[in-house]
Amino acid sequence: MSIAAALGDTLGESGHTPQPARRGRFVPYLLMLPGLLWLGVFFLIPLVFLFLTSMQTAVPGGEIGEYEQTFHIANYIEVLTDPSYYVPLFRSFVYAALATLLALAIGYPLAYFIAFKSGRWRNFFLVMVIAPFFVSFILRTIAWRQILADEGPVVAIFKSVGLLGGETAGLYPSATAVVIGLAYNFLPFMTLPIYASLERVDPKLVEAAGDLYASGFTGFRKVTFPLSMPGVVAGTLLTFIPAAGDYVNAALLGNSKTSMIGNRIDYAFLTTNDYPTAAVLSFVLMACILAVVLVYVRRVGTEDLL
Amino acid sequence: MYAVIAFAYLLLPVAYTFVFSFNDAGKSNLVWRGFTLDNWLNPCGAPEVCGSLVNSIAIGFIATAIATALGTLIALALVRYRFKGRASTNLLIFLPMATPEVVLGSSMLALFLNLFVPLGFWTIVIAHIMFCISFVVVTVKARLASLDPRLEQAAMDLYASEREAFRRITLPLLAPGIAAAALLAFSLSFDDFIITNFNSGQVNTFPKFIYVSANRGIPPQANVIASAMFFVSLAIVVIAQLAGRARRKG
Amino acid sequence: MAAASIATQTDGDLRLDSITKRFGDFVAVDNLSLTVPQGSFFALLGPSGCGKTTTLRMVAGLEEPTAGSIRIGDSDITFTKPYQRPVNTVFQNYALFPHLDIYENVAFGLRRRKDPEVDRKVKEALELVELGQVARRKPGQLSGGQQQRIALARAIVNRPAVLLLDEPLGALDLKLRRQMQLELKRIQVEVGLTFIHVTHDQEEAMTMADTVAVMNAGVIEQMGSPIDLYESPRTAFVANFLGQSNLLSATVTGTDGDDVLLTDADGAFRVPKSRVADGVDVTSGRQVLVGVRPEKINAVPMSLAGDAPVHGNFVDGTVVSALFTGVSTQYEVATRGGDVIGVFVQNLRPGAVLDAGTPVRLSWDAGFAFILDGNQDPHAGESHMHEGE
Repeated sequence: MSIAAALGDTLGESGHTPQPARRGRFVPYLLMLPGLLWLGVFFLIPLVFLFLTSMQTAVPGGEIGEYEQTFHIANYIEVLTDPSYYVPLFRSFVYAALATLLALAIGYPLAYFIAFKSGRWRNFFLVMVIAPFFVSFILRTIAWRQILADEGPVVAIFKSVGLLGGETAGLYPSATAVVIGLAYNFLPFMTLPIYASLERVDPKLVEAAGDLYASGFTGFRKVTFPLSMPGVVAGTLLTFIPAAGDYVNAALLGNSKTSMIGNRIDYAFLTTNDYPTAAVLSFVLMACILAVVLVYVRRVGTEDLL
Repeated sequence: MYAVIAFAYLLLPVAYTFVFSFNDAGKSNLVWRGFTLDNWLNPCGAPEVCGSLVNSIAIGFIATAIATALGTLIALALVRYRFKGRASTNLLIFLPMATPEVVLGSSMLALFLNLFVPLGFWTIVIAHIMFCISFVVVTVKARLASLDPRLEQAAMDLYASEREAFRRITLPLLAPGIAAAALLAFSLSFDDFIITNFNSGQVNTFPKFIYVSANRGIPPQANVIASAMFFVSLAIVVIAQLAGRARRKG
Repeated sequence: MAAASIATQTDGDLRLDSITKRFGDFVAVDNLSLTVPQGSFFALLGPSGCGKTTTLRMVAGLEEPTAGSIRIGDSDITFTKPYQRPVNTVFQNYALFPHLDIYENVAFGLRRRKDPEVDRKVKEALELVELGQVARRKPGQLSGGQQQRIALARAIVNRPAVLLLDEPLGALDLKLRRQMQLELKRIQVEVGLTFIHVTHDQEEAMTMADTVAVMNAGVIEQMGSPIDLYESPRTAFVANFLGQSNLLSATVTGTDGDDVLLTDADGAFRVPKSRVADGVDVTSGRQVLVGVRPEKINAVPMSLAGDAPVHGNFVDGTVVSALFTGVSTQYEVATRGGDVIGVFVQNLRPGAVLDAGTPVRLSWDAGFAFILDGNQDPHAGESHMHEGE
């Protein structure tokens, strides 16, 4: 169509032309300097320090917390072969994966509902998804603890219905509680990106599918769902990554048998002051997350999530 | 119908917290003892509750102000200019959002330890600014990218210099995006626990205080504060929505 | 500060000398030169991508030419900033400032120049576009047509030396567009500013402009009054872009007095020498293109033509298709020599439509034809849509 082509003519030549070189070539660099400097100093350099710390060894005869730089790479081997470390590491990824699936199962229908079925209440519901997060997340997690406790209402209900029996229901503390807590905490991170993707789906596309003989569910499966994939990918990443490194849920809702790698790092840093081990664990965690994410992203095939 | 259940699930802990803020429980708020308004009337009654709250708010404001300023500048550079290293800058901005809080917190701790910087209020501020910048950049970038650059060109066509065009056209139109970014930064800072925990030394923020007292017993005043925050934030959002609708009509 | 440095020279013709604009390897505007007389309505016409918007933006100062110069009167404005030029633009999408009300939008340029009579001028401009009553509304509350008029008021209020209009009517529906075309012309005559109107709609350009320049791939193919361009096109592109033309390949066989003699598969023709485009070689044996517009051709069924003498050139053929468009019937006629000729016949007598398959004799006055260089694509500039969209 000629008008669209004409618009393209205008946009292509005018709309997004960047400033010509003549006018202050250094302006963008100056603009970014303070911010990037901050990130450089407080993000990149600390990572370097962390790496250096991971290779330190205890000063012989020194106090607790005193370490010297020996470039002792064997630290990594020691840590990785210690079951009290690789077990929680593995566990973290399992919990994070389970929590992500749970969040997806709850979040996707929720996002779908808000995007397509909420009518005038849409903004209200969006706020309702985010609102619980104005209550400190620690308090919320603790609230879950009370709710799931043996003396709490949930167990009482289940017991009366006969779903649970015996001395302790084991809902709290337990792995289940930790996974529920994780899924709960990151639910908005899963729901909102999916909502954003779904919201952009033109309902006429689904109508077109119906016109071409697709039933309701097929229309969803073949049209809506694939179009919402970018949101699903973003949501799962935004949920999985923090969940893998979380330890608050495990600390508050679990016990020593459910400890995650985050707990170990926290313990090493703040309790035993075993800085090298803590640093090693941090890098191992990062490497594993990176690996999982790369595999995932490559399989799903989306590149530009930003 | 499914939605009702989902929302119930979402709000359950909030409701629980709210209900228990009325508990006549003294120091440990684990079992329901009785209804009282005392906690609401005397929210600073328990030690450290208000102290930590003040810290959190102060840290929030400072970190938000600085992070929003720095992040907005970066967003402007990324959207309005084409330069070498744009891709790597985008990556650098994205990385902190993708790194687990444990690693962010522990690496900053490593930095402070190795430089013998004492941990406290200011190390918390520094850490918060760091992780907020990325979120500010993403938020402002989104808003900026949706602004028609031809508006600035029209302004220059109508005798406004680059600076005037920016000040009178771009900035006012960008304001909602900057505000949203600031709000996001404040929420992230206020609610942050893990990174704060690693870098705070003896100083308490509100989330840290709650965590630390979790095993001793959380005073119901904490519930009061949390519930109050919930309602205040809700009110702010609702008011903002109504104001936006009113402005669009008039 | 900006106010003082705006060229106070507001009279003078606009001159572009050898303007070239390159984006990397792509040449958007190629060595373009033109003069727009002060106070005239000038149209820059061409298909998308021909470089007309880029040229406009260079005049506005929003793009810098790679080579060449731009002058208004005696001042060279090639490298001055947009806010220092006495040039204002009406943008294609209006670009009204959404956060300011209409009054402030229109007043914007005046305020930047610290004009002492803002209120009077704004009111005057709004009256000119007949929208005085919406002064305190926001752009989002106006219709497309109203926004377009405000964009015009916002530019005109500054009485620039040159007013640039970048396809301002593109987003309006047909009826509104026709109305606005007349409005714009009226305002231009009333205010007396130099208007440069960029468009891809040839009908629009021809109805509004004093001078039209047809652009294609970065160069101006022909410039002149609408009538000159239409009746005496110099290239196949211009012949096809403005209205429609039949361009037939023919060989020159010689001259006879004031006429050039040609021949093709259908027979012999004559065309007056005055109708040969500049620079076309008409020595014997040359291949040229003979053009004649469909509305200039008369179609008579063979059954009626008989052996009556024909005035002017003629060719015989068979009707291939007939399209009734109300005002006229558009025929396609296949000649014995293998050409397909378009003919537009005004529907003077209802019911006189010729069916497909009817043998017809086509004839036209020799003076209506034109001769173009044979070394070009006879289909250059053709569009597949007829009514200006």
